[in-house]
Amino acid sequence: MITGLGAITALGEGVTPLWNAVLEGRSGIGSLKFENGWKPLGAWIPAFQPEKYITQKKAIKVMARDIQLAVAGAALALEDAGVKNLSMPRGRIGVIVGSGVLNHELDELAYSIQSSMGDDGKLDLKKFGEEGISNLFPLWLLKYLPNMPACHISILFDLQGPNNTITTGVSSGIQAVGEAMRIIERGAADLMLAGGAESKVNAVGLSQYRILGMLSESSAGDPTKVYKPFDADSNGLVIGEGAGFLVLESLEHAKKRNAKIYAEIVGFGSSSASGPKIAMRAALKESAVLPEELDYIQACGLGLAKEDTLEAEAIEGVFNGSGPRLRVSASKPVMGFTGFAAGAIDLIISTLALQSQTIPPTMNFNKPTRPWRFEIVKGSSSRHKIKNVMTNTCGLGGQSVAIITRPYQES
Amino acid sequence: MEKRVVITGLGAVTPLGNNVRDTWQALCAGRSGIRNITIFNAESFPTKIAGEVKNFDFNQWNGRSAGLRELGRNSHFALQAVSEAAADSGFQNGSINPERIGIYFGAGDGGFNFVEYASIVSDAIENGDGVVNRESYFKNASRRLKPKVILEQEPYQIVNHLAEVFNVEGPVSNCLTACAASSQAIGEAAELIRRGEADVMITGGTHSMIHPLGVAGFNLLTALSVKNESPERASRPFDRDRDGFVLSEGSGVLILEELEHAKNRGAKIYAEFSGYGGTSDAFRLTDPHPEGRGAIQAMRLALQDAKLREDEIHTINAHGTSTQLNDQIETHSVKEVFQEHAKSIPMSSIKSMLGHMIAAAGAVELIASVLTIRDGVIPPTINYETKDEACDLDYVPNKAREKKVETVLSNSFGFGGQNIALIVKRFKG
Repeated sequence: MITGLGAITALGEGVTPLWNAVLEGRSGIGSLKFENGWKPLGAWIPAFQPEKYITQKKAIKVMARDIQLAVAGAALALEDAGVKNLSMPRGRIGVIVGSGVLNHELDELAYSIQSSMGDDGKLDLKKFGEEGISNLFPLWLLKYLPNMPACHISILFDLQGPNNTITTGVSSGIQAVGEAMRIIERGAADLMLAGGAESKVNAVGLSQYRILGMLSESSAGDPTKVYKPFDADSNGLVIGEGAGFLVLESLEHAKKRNAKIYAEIVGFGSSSASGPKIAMRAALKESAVLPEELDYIQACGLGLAKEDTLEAEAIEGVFNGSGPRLRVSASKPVMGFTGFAAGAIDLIISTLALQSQTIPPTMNFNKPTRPWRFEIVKGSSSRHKIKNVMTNTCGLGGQSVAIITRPYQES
Repeated sequence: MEKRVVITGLGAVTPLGNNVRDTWQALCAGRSGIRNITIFNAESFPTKIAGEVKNFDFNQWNGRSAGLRELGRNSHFALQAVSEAAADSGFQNGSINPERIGIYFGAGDGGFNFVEYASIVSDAIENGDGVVNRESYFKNASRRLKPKVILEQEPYQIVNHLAEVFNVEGPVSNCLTACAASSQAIGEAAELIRRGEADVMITGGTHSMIHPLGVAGFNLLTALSVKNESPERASRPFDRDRDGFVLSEGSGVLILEELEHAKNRGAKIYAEFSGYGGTSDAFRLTDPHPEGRGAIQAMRLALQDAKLREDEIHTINAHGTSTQLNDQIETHSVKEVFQEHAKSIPMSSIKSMLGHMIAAAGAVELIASVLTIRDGVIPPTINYETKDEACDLDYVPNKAREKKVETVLSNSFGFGGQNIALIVKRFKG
């Protein structure tokens, strides 16, 4: 059972500003402002105040921004579920975070590197050993270890149950949710916090996506119109930062404390990078939902021509035109591509779609690369009777994951 | 009824050998794989020693794609170890539906070329004030770094290579929980089989942090041994004079299989996977909980899962890192769990010989546990010379011990408080 949602994105803190923007087709993408007038496109959270969520200044210092965002997202989800101060056995609560390689802050390395450069303009390892190392922040390594988001969260909220860090690329956050569900199913925890966080809206992160040839190079016109999943004119990723977390709970536990239940996860499938179809089929099989019974897919929709085509072909392959009423939309133009957080944020959006029986539009989508046998929702949001919803995450070499949710009904 | 999980294949690349047999022989002979660092010039680093994989030539590998040669050490070690394990298990004959084979790995982050990276950063520094011009960095990096270098840093790439080369279409995941990663991966892989989601799981870990930033980072945390003058004696778990762990690298892989599936195809069965417990200390980033709260609970959960009593564990493969705190608190935790039995359970740390393979450590330790059951030999804790009052268990000092063993508990505790305990036992029909 999904009983809590927490997000922090360029649209603001909490899921309400995110959901409103998704419904209205309003984007948080803009020109980033660096010193010296460099203004690449991105979606960042300038108003983010980590000290609002982390009272110890010392703790903030050992957290990369990704970790600070993770803690904020986790806090918001626990609060939403009403379990932040719930008295329950701490060993029965756990956390799984979708993570990966966290970028170093350049200035932090620069001083050390500067003191270690040889006369030939190359780093001299001997000098680095003698002086460079001691010019690094002593807890430098801890700031960037991929498992630190989950560790900080477990410490701050005293979660002594299962603790894991999933590193499956773009699907990290949603794979974390699927695995958290399995842990509850097998009785190893009553309540699990799961999601992901990432911040690559910085020179290192942006350069990485550019090196991979995935960054949108578009600079003219309205920055909110650049990012176009599934559109024939799509031209690459626009990077965002953020965190998305969900609170999952066993039905019994949720009922006992009279929790509000957003939705039930009824199917979870995972496969390798080349297996989005397998993942979708596995999720359908577990949920016993027939392809024609699926109402809506919250798609990954990365906004890269090749990746979007592969995803659309996979959807077509699995649903095979069986659902003329199958509606698909993607929300990344709203909050940008948030990496390890993306799948979890998409799952939050699809959960809210289910709750409000409203399908959001795909912002900036105008015409498809070719006709698909499903509808990519464009324009404005619309109300529909929806029961079975799939959230799909695949692409960029990350593993493929699909999760199916449904309104909870007492049987 | 819940499905049973057995181990049908093993593979390893370690500082003691590039396969399971050589590694196991060296462990039983009490040899150390720790030497001076050769991967980069560490002469002025506080720590100049590590457990490097030696004479490993990926060009000799029977891989199918030339593109694989350009990958990092992490990927190469894993490809080799999975290759060995798959051949050992004999599952690679195309008769198993690829959708019934999964991967759950504990692959670490890949290294990157720090020297090249530093020169890009340095070129973007303005006015010698240590502030990097972001736009210059962005432009320099975009021009000078190769896509493969970026991609290979991410653990999920390793899993992709494995899925592609070994034709895996079932459930796929990778976890990175520091020093507990591959043990956690094995536990989760076993759960996937128990649930019926796969018949065969390729699991284990791979990691190399022997690069300038890795050694520097651990040195800054004062976690590493600085016994540079005697590399082979530097890793000394439970000894009074231990001064930190020794960083090493490699990969360990196990093939887990659903029992009936293994029987039906007549697979050789090494042992049965029988218990998994995982908890979090929720205490501090680097220090374990002083009372061993999470470690104790992880061991108890594994015992419950295996339906074994405390007196039914015959030997413990310790986490035993050779840091002051870990060894002391692990000892305390084992005494708390096993009470009056603790002193009669041999508990050795093979990190004394292998060093600490970080994400890959737990998998190699479970392989050793499985072979302990098969051969009736408990590998020793070498370099054990002087007793520490706080560490008073039977650590199998310096010499391997012959003993018929039915059950082994293997502990892994990660930086940041993740505790994993696994139990394997002799397979009986």
